[in-house]
Amino acid sequence: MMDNKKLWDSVLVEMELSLSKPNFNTWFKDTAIIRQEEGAVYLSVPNTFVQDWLGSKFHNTILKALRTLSGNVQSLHYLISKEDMKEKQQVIEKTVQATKELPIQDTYINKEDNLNPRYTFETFVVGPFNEFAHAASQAIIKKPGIVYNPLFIYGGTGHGKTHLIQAVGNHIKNTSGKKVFYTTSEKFFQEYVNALQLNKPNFFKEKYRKYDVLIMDDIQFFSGKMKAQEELFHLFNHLYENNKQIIFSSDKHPGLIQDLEDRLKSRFSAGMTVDIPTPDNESRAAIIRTKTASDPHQLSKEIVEYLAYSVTGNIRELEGIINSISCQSQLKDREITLSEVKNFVKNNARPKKLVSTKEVVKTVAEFYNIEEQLIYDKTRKKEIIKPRQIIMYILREDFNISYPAIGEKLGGRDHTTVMHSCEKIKNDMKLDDMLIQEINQLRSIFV
Amino acid sequence: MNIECIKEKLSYAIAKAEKITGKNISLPILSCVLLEAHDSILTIKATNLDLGIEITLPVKVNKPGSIAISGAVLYNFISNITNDKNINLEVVEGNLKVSTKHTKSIIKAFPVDDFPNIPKVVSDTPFTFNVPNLIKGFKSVIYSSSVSTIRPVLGSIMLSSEEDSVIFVATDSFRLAEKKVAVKKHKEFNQILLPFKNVGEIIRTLEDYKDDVEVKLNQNQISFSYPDLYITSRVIDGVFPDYKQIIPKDEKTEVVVLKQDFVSALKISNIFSDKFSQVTFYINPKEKTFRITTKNMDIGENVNNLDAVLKGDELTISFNYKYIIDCFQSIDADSISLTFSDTNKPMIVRGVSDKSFLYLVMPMNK
Repeated sequence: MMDNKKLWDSVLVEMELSLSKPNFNTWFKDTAIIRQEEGAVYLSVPNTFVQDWLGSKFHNTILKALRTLSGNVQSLHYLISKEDMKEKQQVIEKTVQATKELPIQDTYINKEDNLNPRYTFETFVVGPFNEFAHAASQAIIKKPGIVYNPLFIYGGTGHGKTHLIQAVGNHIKNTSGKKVFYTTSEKFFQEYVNALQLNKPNFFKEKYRKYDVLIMDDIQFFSGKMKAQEELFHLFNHLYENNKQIIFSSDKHPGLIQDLEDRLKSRFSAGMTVDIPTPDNESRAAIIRTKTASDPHQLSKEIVEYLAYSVTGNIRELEGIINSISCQSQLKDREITLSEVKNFVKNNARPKKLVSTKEVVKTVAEFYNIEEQLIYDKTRKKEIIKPRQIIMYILREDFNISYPAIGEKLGGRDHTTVMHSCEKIKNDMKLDDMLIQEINQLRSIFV
Repeated sequence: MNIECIKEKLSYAIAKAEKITGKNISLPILSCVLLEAHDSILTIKATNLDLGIEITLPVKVNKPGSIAISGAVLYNFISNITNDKNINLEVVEGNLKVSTKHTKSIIKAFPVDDFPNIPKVVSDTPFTFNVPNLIKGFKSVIYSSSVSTIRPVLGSIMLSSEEDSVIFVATDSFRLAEKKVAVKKHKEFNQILLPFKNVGEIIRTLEDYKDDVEVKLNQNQISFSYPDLYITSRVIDGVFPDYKQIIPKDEKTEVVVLKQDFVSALKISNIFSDKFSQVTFYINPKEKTFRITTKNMDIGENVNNLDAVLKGDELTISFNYKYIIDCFQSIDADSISLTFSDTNKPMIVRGVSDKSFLYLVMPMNK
């Protein structure tokens, strides 16, 4: 298959020969082939007039020319190009503007559905850490409202929840034309309060009930807002009964969101609940490669690996560092070396909070609601042993303290005891999801 | 084609259509109007590939047919005939013969096949709009649109519907005008962005009508139609900036002044303004001073003190005269309020007791 531009240029040459110059300029200016699919050629045209005109006057001529140049063309379709897709050829004149400009920003977010078209599956990196969530959303795309309703996605900040759920929304919108709406729980709450103030609760109800797919981000902020929860409950029931797809995201498992009514908790968990954990090293490397794919200065394999291993924070932080690196390389107009990257990461990395062993013990004891002193004591009660083992595990894994040192600080225990505890927690974590949750929550306190 | 009709009616219709014809010399067919006659109806079509218009007129059709001729020539000819009531249009040897009792002319025709189609907007959900309201809304904000084509969204007028009103907004990023027009019952629609150049033509075309107009909208086109008139325009496929967030919420200084006083003072000040049309306001509520000063190295300088009700903090701030003066045509109230929040933030101009219009102007750089 010939490349789009080349093919169209050749067609234009033929058309230009057979038409007067003004005619050619009027009807063929700003036209281009935007894609070819299975014998169908899609032509972008600037407006409806051109679409009509080409379709009625030149359709067969263009098709014939296309067929001679590229054998497998079967049909020709016209698409009206968006304003901002056209290349802006005007040179912005640098006039002295004495008046300040209003701080208006071009929004790329579509007002009708609040979706940001930037979030698509094409830019979503699938790795072992999020493949389950990805698979669930793919299933939903195929049968929205039928399988996994509601879909509840939870995971730490910057793990790609918003990207994933917006990509689902964008995909459903573009392929099926269903009415999709994206909102955050905060916006939903605001709107609800406004509707009450204006005394128009019905307007609000009607608005949300007409959507085919409702996506609500950061559901954890509903915690404590009882009236809004009730409204959400009714909305949920209405949509669910009518087989409308509902997608939620949160930073916690629905069961762990505080001050959330049980009837909501149970409904959130009714469909499919998926966790997006912290990305593993390989996934981080893949993300780095995707994010830098369009950069003129490619990062070397060593740098990608180094970044993947050393920047252990969330994806957003990783993006931040990649952006700074690509900015640096553009500025210097050369590839950045590994040592420069190392230096850079060192300067930009989030400073690790210095936490004393005592503080760790205190926090964990508080978390499990036991007396701090009991951790240091020799007691072998079950409810004390577990927190004690978790403390040892965290101190070893996150703070890199040696086994003997941990033993000594926790009431003069032998280093083999500490080793056993760490092993035990590690093994238990493989089987017990609740334990993982608890440890993750504890860790988020220390970071 | 051979038709007979009342000259006045034809002249009126051709005048409307002729305005829309393209002024593009390279493609002469666009400067034409297309006349189609059949079943006692004459249809006049014109387009500049951005706007399209169709006007129908009851006439006596002796012989159906169609022809494309220069709109300007036909209009100039017909509008200057004064003493004849009836007019006859006939195609003779491919050209158009226009004749009255006293005069006749042959106008050269262009191939009808070259005339572009005027797109018909198809929509499942047409709605109606009160035309005087529509025009009032357009006129209240149109001067704020950007004439630059770099950002098409700013070269447009945005319409959006609220529960019992329709909001018209335009901005060129230095000032912004917003007008709410109360509408009793109307259908909800999403943002519509109309190129402001087309809006000017739409205002001119619809101005004589008083009845509700039928509006049809799809992704690329909008149409306004009456039984005897159809006008369609391109709509801009984009998203208007979220302007609500730039309206300052905290007001630190407020001035209430008679509109007439303020406009006169501004006009006097402007005589002495510099090449950037800079006018400087000095507001001091404690001393009850509201002063407008201008200074031009070559001409001289001017100081104007105004009687006004002042509130809040002392402030010195400068504006471009041209951006302020535009808004007064849209304010019906006798007194206006000017509110300021900061020397970097826009000034808000409103009519006192009139919540329907809002105007933002950015100050000048120091």
